[in-house]
Amino acid sequence: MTDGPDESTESSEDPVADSAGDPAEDAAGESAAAPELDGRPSVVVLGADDSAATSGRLRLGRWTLVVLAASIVAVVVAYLSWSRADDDPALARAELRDLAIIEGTAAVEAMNSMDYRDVEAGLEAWRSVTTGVLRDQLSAIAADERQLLADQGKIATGRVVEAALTELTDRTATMIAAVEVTVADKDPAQEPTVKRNRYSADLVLVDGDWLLENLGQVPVATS
Amino acid sequence: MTVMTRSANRALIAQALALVVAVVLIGVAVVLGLRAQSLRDDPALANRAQLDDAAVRQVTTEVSRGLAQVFSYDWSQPGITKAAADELLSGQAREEYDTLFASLQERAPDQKLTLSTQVQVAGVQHLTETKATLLVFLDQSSSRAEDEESSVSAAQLRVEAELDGRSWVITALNPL
Repeated sequence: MTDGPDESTESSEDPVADSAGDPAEDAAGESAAAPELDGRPSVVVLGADDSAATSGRLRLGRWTLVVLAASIVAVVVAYLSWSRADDDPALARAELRDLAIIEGTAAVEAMNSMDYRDVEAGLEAWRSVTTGVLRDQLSAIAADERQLLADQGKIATGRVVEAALTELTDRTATMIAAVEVTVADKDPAQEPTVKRNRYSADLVLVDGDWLLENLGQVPVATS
Repeated sequence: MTVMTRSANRALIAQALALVVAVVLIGVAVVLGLRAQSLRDDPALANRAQLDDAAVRQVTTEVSRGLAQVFSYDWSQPGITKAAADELLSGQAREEYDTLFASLQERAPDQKLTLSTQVQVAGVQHLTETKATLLVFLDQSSSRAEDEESSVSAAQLRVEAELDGRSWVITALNPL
């Protein structure tokens, strides 16, 4: 790219230098006339340079413009493609669904877990995964009931074996879960018992987190 | 000479700047393109559960109906259950079911056993074009000729299904 302007400026310089002095003076004049040359032909050179530069700018500019335009188009296309993928309502819904399963599972497990050695922590865990009336009810658990939980001497650990959503809106979800609750006694001689339950949980999205609004066993139909 | 070089330099610098800008823009385009692609390839989107309502309804309805049919049994008409199993079960589900069905066939006529199954609730866990996984809660009531009362038992199943042509076939039954 740099070859173009260089050649054109050199060739335009040569005739000027030739006509300026005798061939004899040439050898000596080259260096002596250099300042003068620098001043005078600079106009010519400037003109030559200018035209070379503008034509160069135009010639190379064409390529540059093509490349620039292509890159701008590429950015615009890529941005539109990205923003459409990012704004995809299906993706938002899919992420909401997956979050509901994860947080709903954790909430149901928490509600099926209680350690008699630290009832307060267990109740706090219950409160932290619930909302609305259910949370109010849990907060209202009286001292004697807390004492009862402590006196029973049981460690219950809930595990959601499988869970699925049956309903999903922007802020509510219904999750069903097959739950296994292992209850260990404070007496290590007693074998832990395992209970299997099936639950339906109503979830509500509160500040980006899915919380339990209602939790109930799915009853066996008695028809 | 200096003016010339300065001017040529200016042209070169402009040139270089333009190319740098172009390179940066192309880089941004590539990054955005890759981001867009990874968003579209998000595994969360591959699971159509709760996204494709029509497909969710279809698989839920067909699997629920299928389970009710194959787990309902009348000792006097075992052929109905057998026919339903032929139509709705395949693979591992079919093999396990056949074992169950054989033992049922042995004792059912003596006890005059009748089983009636209904699905309480079913939720789709994972769904693609041709495969689905569901969590199903069902109730099975059984009645024998000798005892008047019928007993009801609850079951929780993880069910796998595959689309065979236009209808869903149950391929795996996992009691929970």
